[in-house]
Amino acid sequence: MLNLALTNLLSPPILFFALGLFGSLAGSRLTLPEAVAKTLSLYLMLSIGFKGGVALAGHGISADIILAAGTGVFLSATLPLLAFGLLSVLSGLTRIDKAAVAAHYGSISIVTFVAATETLRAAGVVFDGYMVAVAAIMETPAILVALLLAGTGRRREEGESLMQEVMLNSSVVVLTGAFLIGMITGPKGMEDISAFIVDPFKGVLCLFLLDMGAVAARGLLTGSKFLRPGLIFFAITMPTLSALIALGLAMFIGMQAGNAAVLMTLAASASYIAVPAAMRLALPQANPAVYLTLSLGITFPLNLAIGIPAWLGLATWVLA
Amino acid sequence: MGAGMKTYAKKQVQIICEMPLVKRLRTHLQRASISGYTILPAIGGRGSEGEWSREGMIGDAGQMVIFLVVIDEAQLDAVLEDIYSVISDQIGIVTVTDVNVVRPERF
Repeated sequence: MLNLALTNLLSPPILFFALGLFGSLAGSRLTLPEAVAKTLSLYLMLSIGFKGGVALAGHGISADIILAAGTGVFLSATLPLLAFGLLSVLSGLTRIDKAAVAAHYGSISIVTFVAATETLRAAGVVFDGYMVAVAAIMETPAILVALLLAGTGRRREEGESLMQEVMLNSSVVVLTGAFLIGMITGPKGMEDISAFIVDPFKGVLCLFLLDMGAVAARGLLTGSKFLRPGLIFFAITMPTLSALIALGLAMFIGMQAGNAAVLMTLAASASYIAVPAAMRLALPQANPAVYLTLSLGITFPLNLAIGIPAWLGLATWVLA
Repeated sequence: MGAGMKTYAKKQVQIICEMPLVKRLRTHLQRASISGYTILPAIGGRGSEGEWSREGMIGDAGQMVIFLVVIDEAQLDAVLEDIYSVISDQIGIVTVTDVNVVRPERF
């Protein structure tokens, strides 16, 4: 497992992330223009969605897929409860802030997922293409549960528009859309566009993570005044507990090790794109500096550097 | 514009608000029969939570935009009340200034 962790730490994407992170912490104004960052992120969604769809082409919907998707929904809906409870013990946050943070930790980070799939590929561990669909499904339930936890009833009309905006946010639409296109066009489609979506993938991921490192550093610098020890402890323990619960569920439903490692990564990751936007609409009283600093400043780098190889090592050790 | 050109007094409402609210605010302005408005991106700034910048952002949360709405004074109270119902809990600033326009029938 130590070897795996070292290989991951010394891989180009992680080193570029570290460059962005430490460069910005040192004071460099290193960033990509917003439009470029958004384009790169959509490229990654398109590529990962399409590859997942192609892998599944011709297989149809099996019991395994339904079980995995159900487990994903269950995790996304119940992890906010655990997060809310932990925060009640560990932090002095208000109910609204706790609910907002809980939504982030129940939902997922697609970029963490993308990084995990690269680590798995590098380690030669196979996982099923449908895990992309599981990732997309896990984005939303946590938001609904968190709104219930917050206990602030917004107007129905606004609730409906919120759900529409969350489910139709560009990353979810491109990810699931590309997944379906991959399923429809299959290996022939892959042959047609692989020069665009497969070969440059790792390089684009490096460039994107360089920017994410800088964004994470900026989040840490501006949000550091909110980082009480209890919250830092939460941002480290919550992903670990989530990954362990995911591992337990993966064992229960008989998942193979690669899929289990992906499910653990998804459970351990915290959203920082879709959920923050949803929270600004649904829980505007919650402080964005708190949830963004925790998910983007601590949990995201931690998952990239240590979490992913740890979850992969654990999953292969327990399930192989 | 010639020095003698006649201009007409109107009100301009400037709403600096969060990007995720754009859709909601647009719907409200449309419902209030506002004939037109302009949205500008804000590139960065400083507020009660410290500095922020648009650079490198990949999500909408944390980004700000500016709505410019020119209206007739008679509409002002109703429009402000409507805007307030959308952004009362949010980060942002609403200001009203006197402006002069050359084509009054458009507002």
